[in-house]
Amino acid sequence: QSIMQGGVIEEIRIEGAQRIDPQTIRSFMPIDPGDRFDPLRLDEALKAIFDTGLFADVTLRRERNALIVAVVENPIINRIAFEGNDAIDDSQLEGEVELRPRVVYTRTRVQNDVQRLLDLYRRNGRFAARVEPKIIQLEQNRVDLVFEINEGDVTGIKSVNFIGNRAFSDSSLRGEISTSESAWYRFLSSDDTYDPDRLNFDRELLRRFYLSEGYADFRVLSVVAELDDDRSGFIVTFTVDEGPLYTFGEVDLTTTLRDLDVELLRGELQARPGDTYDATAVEADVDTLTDVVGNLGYAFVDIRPRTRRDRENLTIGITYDIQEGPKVFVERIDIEGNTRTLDRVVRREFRLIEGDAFNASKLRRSRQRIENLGFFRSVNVQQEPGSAPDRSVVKVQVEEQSTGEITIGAGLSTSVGLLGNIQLRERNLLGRGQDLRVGFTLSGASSQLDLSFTEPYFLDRPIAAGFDLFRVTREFEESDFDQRRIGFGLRGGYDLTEHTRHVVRYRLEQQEISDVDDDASILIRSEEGETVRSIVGQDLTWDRRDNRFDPREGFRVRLSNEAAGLGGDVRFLRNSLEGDYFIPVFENMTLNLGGEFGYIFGIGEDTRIADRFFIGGESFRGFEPGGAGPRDVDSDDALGGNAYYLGTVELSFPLGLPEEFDIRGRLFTDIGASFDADSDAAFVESTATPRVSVGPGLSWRSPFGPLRLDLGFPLVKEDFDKEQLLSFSFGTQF
Amino acid sequence: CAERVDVRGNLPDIEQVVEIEPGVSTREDVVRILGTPSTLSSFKDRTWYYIGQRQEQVAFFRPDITDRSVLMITFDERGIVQETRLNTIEDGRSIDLVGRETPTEGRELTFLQQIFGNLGRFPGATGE
Amino acid sequence: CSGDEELVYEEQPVEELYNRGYTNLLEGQNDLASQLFDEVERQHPYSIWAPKAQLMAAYAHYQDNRYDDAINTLDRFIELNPGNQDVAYAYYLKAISYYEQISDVGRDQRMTELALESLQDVTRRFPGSEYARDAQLKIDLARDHLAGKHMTIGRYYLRQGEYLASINRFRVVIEDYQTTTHTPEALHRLVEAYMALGVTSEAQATAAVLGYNYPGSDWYIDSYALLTGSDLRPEEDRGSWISRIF
Repeated sequence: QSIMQGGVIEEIRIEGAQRIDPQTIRSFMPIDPGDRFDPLRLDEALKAIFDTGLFADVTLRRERNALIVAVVENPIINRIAFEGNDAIDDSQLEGEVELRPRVVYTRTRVQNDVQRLLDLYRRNGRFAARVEPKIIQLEQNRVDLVFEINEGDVTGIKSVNFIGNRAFSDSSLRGEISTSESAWYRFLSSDDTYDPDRLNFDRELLRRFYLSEGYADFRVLSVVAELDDDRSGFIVTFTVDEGPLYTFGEVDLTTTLRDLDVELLRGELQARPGDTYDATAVEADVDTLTDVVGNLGYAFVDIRPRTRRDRENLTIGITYDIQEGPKVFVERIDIEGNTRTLDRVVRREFRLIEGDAFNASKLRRSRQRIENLGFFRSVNVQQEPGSAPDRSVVKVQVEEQSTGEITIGAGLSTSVGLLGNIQLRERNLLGRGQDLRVGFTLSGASSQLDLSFTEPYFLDRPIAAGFDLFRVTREFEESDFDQRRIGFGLRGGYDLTEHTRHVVRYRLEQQEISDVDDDASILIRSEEGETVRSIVGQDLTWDRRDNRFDPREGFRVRLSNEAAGLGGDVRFLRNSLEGDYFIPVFENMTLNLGGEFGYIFGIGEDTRIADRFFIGGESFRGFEPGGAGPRDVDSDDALGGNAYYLGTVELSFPLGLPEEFDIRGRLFTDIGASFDADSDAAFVESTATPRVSVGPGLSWRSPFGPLRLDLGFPLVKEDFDKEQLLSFSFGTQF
Repeated sequence: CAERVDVRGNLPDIEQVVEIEPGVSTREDVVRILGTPSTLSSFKDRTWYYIGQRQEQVAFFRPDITDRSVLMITFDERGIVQETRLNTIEDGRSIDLVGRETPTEGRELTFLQQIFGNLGRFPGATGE
Repeated sequence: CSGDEELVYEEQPVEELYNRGYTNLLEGQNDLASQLFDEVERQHPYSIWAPKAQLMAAYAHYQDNRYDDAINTLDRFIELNPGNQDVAYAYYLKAISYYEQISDVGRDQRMTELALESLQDVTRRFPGSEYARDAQLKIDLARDHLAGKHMTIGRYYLRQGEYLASINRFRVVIEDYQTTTHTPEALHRLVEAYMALGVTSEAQATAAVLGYNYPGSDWYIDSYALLTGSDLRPEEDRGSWISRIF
């Protein structure tokens, strides 16, 4: 009879259950014997069983007063296979799909996986890919699942064009966006595949570029990508409306904070009346103002830039309104994901302490400092509501990455010849943030074994203290003797201010000069044997460069002094001052003005060769190491000078090759000399007159390692100097 | 060289503190003026604390605290401010902390596990 | 340990597969054993051996400290066989798999939280079972561990002179983790922090509670010395709610 006739369910029987025990199915149903045959409740039960996803089909029927639940279980997947894929290998496809062997097969799960595979191919630029799921029935209600894939070919970008751009050429705009035209040398990157999301991102990049160049009314009218006639690639066209060029109008500061003199802050601003309008400068100003006002002890700072656009004389006035921000306090800082690094190693980088007033720029700086540790693949910092409206919890999620490095390097340089090194380094020892490095370098002319350990927060204070052990042997052909140095050093460094760093160090070193050639200079022969040096030194560095590895702007000045004589058999004072100034020139060139000079004088004794200054090789291109300094003309050995000075003017410029190759050309002139070998013997030639060299250079950050090549032509030199045309160094790490 | 000025905790201005009148202000008034209390007394009933300090730090030297305020506010049963007491930096005392720590277990990674343990586990610089 | 050789795929009767798996397990070849038990479940999902094999596979993974695999297999077992008579053991083994990954207090305590959650699952679902007794013991240890983490952070702030931050951390311990071994130290650290701030009344009240509840502890001796050092006595604040709940 039909379910609808009512009456009481006396019994419930499950049919067709093979793998899932009937008792489990009963537990899904909200109906029990004794309930009435109520169609609504029965429909609910049907839906409940079906929602478990374990069944392909569920039917209810009635035999007199018994409710029969007939189920057909979804099959179990036996194996999963992929056919027809070669651009993407099986393991990557497997990682993408959710279905696994021994899991219940349902149609919806297969459809979701097909979509996931299509998305994967789309991300790799294959829009024409098609995926067909096939089922092979096996006994005991099991199935093998096969994804038949037809990958189609890569839909590349044929060309990228711009319409309506007057101020900037197509090529310079192409440099600004991330999508690029397909070209043979871009086989590594996938930037040259068609990806609609990336085109939207490009729309934003273009807007930011124009806004930073003064075009405040800039709009991207449309981005159109059509397949060209042979359907092998897309033609992308950006239509833009640049609008007029604006300059900054009035720039003023208002504040509601008590006794804050806004005029003091004017000096910090980048946006100046009359300059071309630049949106990024306004953003930078907001950041600097938040920092500066924050540092003056104001807890809740909120800076709002208000712009006034004047369309007649095309100026944009800016008012930075410094107000009291919302009064929110940091209730707690939770650090998660640090499976290896200790909590305090991350917590001590925080500029905010629990209980402090919440300050966005301090939070941003804290995130930057945690990232600079280099221990984490990702650092994300969120703010979550706390236990009261004016309290918030800062949640820091980090993802650890391997900080252990074994680098094996090889190199070739004119000063040392072929060299090989191996270095074992752990930058986050025991998760305590300590750095331990053991290195061994071997080359034709030298060998070096060193171990160095650094604790960045000595005694829980921001002092980077550490010690070094070293054993260095070096053959000096230019002076015909061998030198071996063994010793240890202690050092402590701290930041005086955000950009100035001071390092104090001590070094105890035993030095042995041995197998001096018998025709070597008698000055050198007199220094054969062992000496012990006990040296206290300090370096003061003021570093305002934009970045350490490839500086394009800013300057760096370093003063270092060393005093030997607290014990040991050598007494001298050795000082040097270095300065480098980088100026961005034209489109992408950098002018580097460099200068350094140094002076050593023995205290109550002559200086020794090993302590004097040797210039040449990479420091003075065109001359051999020690090639532009005092020399024993009889034995033709370089003696090193008590004093030296060096200057360099170098222009580095792109060679017009595409960005990916990262090759830069250089033109340089070096000038300098080292002199005074603490000896007025007749056979010693030494003069302070400047030597000058000039020449081209090339530096290439190749995928195998940095390569540096300089050709130095000495224009002005002394007759006893030793030249060296080529100076070359190449190091690889793998 | 510039020292860094920091404000820790909740350092209310004197004008705000003066607004709180014993016998008149209620809990809601106090929260409106000073915000949620920095901490509550654990063992004295109906006592709130607002703790804050201003400090200047140069390089790695201990920051010197230029101004500290520990404001204690006690309420009567009806939630009206009974008494406010302000401690400043002068009341602070230097104490030396006990070195002993209550032990905890948990798998402390051995030295070698640390060095080589994660070379392979996380696909890092060399592990890829 | 056992090699990771991949088992070649061949259809075999269920008993043979199960027994081969079992013998491997006894010989300590856990990896091979878990693969064989997986095969039982793959090739014979409907045999009565399938659920048992799933449990054994999880146990093999657990023996080899492959905790994630063990937990995934157990989750699948619980999902498919909620009514199975071994399901209590499955919940328990899952809890233990989390518990054994608890790392020291200086590091992320996610494993401790997951262990605590699944241990409480065991005590709630199977209150009478012997698993529940062991789970309860481990719950206390896990809570003690979480309290240890708050203490480490509290001590870090205390040493840095950040008294407010340390006070709030120690208060979390005495309010949410009263029954752990860290409470006496938390009370003493509060005395230290409040003394440093010069709030002697709070320090005295805290020391009184410490003395009242842990009279013989070294921590009370330290607090007492700290107070008497500045000629103060621990005095209980009559009305304080804390003395009622301790």
